[in-house]
Amino acid sequence: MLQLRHILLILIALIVIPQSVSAYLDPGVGSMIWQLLVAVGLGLVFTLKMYWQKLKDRFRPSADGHEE
Amino acid sequence: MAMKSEPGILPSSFRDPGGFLFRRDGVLYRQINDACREDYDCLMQSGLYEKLVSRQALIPHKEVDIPPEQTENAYLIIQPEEIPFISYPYEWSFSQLKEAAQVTLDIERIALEHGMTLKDASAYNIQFHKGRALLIDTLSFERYREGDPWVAYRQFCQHFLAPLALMAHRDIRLGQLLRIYIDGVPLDLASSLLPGRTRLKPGLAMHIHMHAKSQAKHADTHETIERPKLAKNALLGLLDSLSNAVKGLSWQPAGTEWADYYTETNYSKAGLEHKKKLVGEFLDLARPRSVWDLGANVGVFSRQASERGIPTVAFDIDPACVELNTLEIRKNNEQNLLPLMLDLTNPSPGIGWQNAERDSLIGRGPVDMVFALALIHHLAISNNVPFERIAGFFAEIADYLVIEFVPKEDSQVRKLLANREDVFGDYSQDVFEERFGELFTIIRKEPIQDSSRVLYLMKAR
Repeated sequence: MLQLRHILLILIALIVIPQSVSAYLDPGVGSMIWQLLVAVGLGLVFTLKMYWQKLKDRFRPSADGHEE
Repeated sequence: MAMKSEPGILPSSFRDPGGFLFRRDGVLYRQINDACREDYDCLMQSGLYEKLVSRQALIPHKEVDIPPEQTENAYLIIQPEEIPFISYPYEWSFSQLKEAAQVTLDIERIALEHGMTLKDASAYNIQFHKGRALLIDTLSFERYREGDPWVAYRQFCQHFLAPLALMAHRDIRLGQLLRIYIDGVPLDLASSLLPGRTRLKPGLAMHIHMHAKSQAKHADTHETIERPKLAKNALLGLLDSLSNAVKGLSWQPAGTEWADYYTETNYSKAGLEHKKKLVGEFLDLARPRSVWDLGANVGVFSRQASERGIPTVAFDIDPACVELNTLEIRKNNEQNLLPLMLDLTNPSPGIGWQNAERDSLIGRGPVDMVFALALIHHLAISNNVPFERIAGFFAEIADYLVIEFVPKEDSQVRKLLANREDVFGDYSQDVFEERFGELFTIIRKEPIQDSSRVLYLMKAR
């Protein structure tokens, strides 16, 4: 698991543009790495959730109570 | 002299080079430096300021034309609306901390919609004002750069998610860890203290347990790492996930000895009404501009003050009481009452840098009037504090005192003495009046109907 994460990071790093942060707070390296790993998946879930919500709203614009 | 009213830069305001808070002639101002110029302008011009202020999520301010406190690099001075009583996350109930967490996430989400982001997510940036949690750090916003991760993620997890999870899943008292760890609960500590079943909850598993492991693993990484871009959608997904994790945490205040207090037959119905009426009379007599109710329980008597429009703080040692009071305030949309946790025998000390970053309880005083109702026996008997020391403390923090003497014949005192030696020869109404009389003038003295208790109104000499 650890090795996979390392390989993943290196692969991603090869196509990366370095970013700098001007905020005064120390984000914490471990926290930043974790966020980068986890947020991509969460973004996907979120996007799907939003599409599903929009789909539901289109077929049932008012509050619903029954199953499809 | 109270720290809060001293002129000059506030002892807590030093980390952000973008600006700082200072006091001049008793008024609070915020200096904005050149480093923050563009971010501040963006906040005001993007519509974000209006949006947040209209939702009561950000403290309103006005721009003022006065000489800067530090002329070097100064851009602008603003005058924010002042919070009547500053409180700290270790004094908050579960629901107050949860509300503060949710407001922080809402603000970040709305900020992103306006091209901005929060550069920190400290619980100390949130204060309670008119019954609602809001952000007081106007300079917390910076322009969002597409691709940047949320720099405040770590701080959010430590200041909010970890203590809330510990309070909900392990023990409500663990909120006090925030007093020791000024930058929030370390995630490895939270992870080790949380029960194993929390690893099955996706939000806590991700943002506490695995987050902690990642921190530990990379603790020795000191080279600047090349980072991939993080799409805005990923940030929104992260915020949504954190929001769900916070929403999923709850705490039910079980019936504790205190929360059951008012259902117990301590006063007859007539006695309770009489006591309320007396407290109201004393308030109308003294007309205080602010009140601290010490040992307020769920705030029955605090409301005599707050419903008269007087800003009132209701302190209690029992988290269940503070929680119930919080929920009641929210339900009724009360604006003048702030419930907080406090152990009078060990009140909040000054903590942080130079013991001055976060003010002690006494430092946030004095207050016009203090209520010490159904309290004296807990201090004098349960905690062995002599009358003169109790009087000394009250005289230090208040001008007027509404205090209830609870005699030894009272059922509550008998309970306290049931299984211990009665070494309290001095605990009598006469000695009480004598000791308090040294520091206070007794203005009114009324026995409470159907009770052996006596209510006093006193004024510090």
